[in-house]
Amino acid sequence: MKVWGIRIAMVDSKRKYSNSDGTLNIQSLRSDFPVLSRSIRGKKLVYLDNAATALKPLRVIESLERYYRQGTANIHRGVHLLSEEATTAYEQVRDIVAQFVQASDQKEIIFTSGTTAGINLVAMSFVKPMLSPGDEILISYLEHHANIVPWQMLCEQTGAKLKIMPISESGDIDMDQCQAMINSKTKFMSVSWVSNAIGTVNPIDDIVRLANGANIPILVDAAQAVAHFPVNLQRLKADFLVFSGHKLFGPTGVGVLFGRTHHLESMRPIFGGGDMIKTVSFEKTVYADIPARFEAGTPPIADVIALGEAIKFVTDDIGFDRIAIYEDHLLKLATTALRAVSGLRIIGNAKIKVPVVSFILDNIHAHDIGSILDQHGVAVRTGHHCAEPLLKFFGVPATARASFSIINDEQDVEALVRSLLKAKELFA
Amino acid sequence: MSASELYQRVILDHNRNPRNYGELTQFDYFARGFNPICGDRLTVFFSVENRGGNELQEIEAFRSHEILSQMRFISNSCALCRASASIMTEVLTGNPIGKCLNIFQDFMDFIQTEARDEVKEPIGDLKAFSEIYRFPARRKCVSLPWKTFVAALNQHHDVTTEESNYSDQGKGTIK
Ligand SMILES: Cc1ncc(COP(=O)(O)O)c(C=O)c1O
Repeated sequence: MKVWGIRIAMVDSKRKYSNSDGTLNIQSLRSDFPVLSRSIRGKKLVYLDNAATALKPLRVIESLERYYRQGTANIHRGVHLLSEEATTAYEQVRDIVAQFVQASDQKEIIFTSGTTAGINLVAMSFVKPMLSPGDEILISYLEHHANIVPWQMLCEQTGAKLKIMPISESGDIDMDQCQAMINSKTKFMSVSWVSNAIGTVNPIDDIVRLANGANIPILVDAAQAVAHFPVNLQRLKADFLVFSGHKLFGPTGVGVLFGRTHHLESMRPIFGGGDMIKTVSFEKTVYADIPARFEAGTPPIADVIALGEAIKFVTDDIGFDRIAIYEDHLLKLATTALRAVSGLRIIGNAKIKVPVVSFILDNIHAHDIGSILDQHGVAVRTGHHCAEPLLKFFGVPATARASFSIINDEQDVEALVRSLLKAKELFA
Repeated sequence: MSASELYQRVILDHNRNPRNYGELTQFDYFARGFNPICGDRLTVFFSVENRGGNELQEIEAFRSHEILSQMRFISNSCALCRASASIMTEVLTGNPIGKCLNIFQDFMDFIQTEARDEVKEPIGDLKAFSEIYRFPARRKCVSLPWKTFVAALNQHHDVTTEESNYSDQGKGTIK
């Protein structure tokens, strides 16, 4: 099966949240998200801000609680039972993540505090030492600030230049121009797989192949991809890939950096401290091997363990096949319903999109839309979505963004449209 | 609480038909305000008249010899910001600068103090912002025009909602 241009395997084992025909039972899935039973300003919560952060299922919440109630201990440090248990649970998640992205070796998985931390680590540790004045770093117009600012900072420090791959009016990366921008000065590429602001799914295979062909290391920002489709790093030959746990139904404060072994082994750590060393004397410290070398200090143990549960929730309880089918349905439904609202303009109509719809309304500023929807219990994001250059490209200072996920149902789409009509009425 | 309490009729009206909207070609002070969180932008222009005389100066400590004689603004912003700017031009015009600053302070208190019995009822259409204190995420939309006004007074031409100068924290000091 192919959805969003990505091949997705059908899993046929008996799974949770199933109707008798094996399709996803949304209501039983929703019942595992406690926040959804909260009422907001006296209304049923309609959570359409999944791209900012995903809500958390019981499986994740209970895992966090279990660690603090039954097994609190530091890892890699104690011989006592609690520490051993915690260490095992923590390291098991490395395996789970390695399988999740199909890395060939679990030591290529480094736990970070999130996407932002992963990008900054690669910028400082891998890219900075190889830059000379005049060198170029290539990113796209679609990037989140987290994939712009660290590179600008490097450029300031080294005299390198930031180059931007252009996009079309629809919000698609222009692959011909992208190719034309690669030259002997290009030292690194960093591109998002999916745009958080307008939902474009970039042709990441083609972009990575282009980088590979030109021998330029490339980082893929998968923050907005991992909750929607599977990652296969055996096929996708990215040098680095980063994502955050919290957009994947996991806790905040934890994320993943994948790096190819030969790169990670060549990199100097940025943070020094406990857990990242083999031996320390005042004369000389020998760094630990990867991945420990990049995990100085006590990590967010409970959160890493709960991230493992979040991944199992996505892959085992739901399955990417069912996510793809259902989210594609929601996207079509929402796009059609929003197009029917007069005066509404959707920003970003890329060929392939995740269920993210950014829009503006005539005569009502996005911020006002956000407040009025909130009064109806509908949570959307408004503003520039940490992608100011992109919104400037579309000539708008701000949009309202409804980002859907498997936790949403068709009634949520109806509630969104209904409250938009109310907003129009109020401002008429 | 409903959307119509936040967006009271008066606010919607000022948003639709902003008063004193447009550029001022001759002015003594101006500043541009920007809210980087949502992209709201506005520019405030105003002129002052020197009314001379010393006796009033003793009563109103701060720049009492200056009266704000004319004020205009332009904006590309949400309704709350635009209405706030529109009402600001109405309530400040004709007042001594010292009094304008008092109005500013009282209004900043009004939009953020939770204990409602401790706040002074503001003048004119400013009352329409009586529910803003419940919406911390939107207070900056309302305070931006005011912060921009105070920045202009201080001869600073660019100010954002994220700066601590020209505090919009009510009782905070004015530089
Ligand atoms: C595409 C993209 N990159 C990076 C980030 C930053 O992620 P975090 O804030 O979790 O580090 C986000 C989060 O919004 C994102 O959507």
